[in-house]
Amino acid sequence: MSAKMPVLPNTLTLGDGLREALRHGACCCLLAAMAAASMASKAVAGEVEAMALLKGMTTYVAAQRELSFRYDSDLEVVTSDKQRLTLASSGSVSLARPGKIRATRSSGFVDIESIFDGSTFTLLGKDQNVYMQIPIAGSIEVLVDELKDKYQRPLPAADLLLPKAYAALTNEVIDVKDLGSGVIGGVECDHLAFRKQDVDYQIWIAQGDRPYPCRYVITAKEVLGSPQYSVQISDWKTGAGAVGQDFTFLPPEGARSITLKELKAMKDMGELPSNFVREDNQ
Amino acid sequence: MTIMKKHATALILALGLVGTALTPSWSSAVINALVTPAQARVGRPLTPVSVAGVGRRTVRRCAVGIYDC
Repeated sequence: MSAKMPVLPNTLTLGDGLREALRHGACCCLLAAMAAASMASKAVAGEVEAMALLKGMTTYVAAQRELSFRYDSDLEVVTSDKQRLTLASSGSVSLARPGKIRATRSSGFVDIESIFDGSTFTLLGKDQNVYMQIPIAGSIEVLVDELKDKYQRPLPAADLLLPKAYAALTNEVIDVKDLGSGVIGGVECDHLAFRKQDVDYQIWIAQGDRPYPCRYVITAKEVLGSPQYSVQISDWKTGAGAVGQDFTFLPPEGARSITLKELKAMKDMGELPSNFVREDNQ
Repeated sequence: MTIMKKHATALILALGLVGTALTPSWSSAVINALVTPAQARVGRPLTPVSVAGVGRRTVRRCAVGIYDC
């Protein structure tokens, strides 16, 4: 995206009063005022453009009834002795609005699949060959909220997929920047940065007629060491081209059904591997 | 970690398992089982994976968007 520069007139016609002011050394003040006005105009233009790009992305994504993509995510954690470490994982997401989604996540310590068919949410631990099911009725939006608020298992990048994405992303935003563009996976994407009180986030949006999110980075600036969570999206497919559009859960042979309580007690089924020990030090 | 993996590999070699029915993936699994990864002690809260609902001081209070907070 090309950053729009404010248009300034090539020539200025000075009146008698202005000539007099200049003679009295007001030149610097005038130029400073003009520069400030120019910068303010540029900043406002950048904000408006950034919000429009974000609106365009969220509207486009929400309008896709079927979509699928692959992702790579990095979750940074900060150790008690201030070492920043990154947990890397990859996976795929396939969804069919309003109420079906299937997501996988693989890392060095966990290989899980989540399936939601509009009435039941299933979490399958492939390595342990166990699965947990909870009834959740409604849309993907209901699922995302319930997992986040009730079960404290927020779905990564869900911010970008919901119909209310624009409102969620812009609520309580205190600063907006349009930073031009960057290239991600060979695709040129518009680069935007937003600030909230507790977090900053950046988003790269693909240029062209498919403005999908290329990368999304959240910085927890209120957490010691300002760790980041990032997710990079690839293989974006929509409509009939979306893959993995089967949302029926069939337990693998020998899979054991477990309760939510059992799931919580299992090692290596959460966000952190078991050799990462949580402390209440902040 | 690397030294421990070398030890594990040496152990496998010593046991004469290489070249038998031990497949590359199985040998990797055996090495992983023998090697204890380093432990990291991490603080709370974890990094939020969502900004939805994040407002002033919500991250520190584990209010939103944070896994198993």
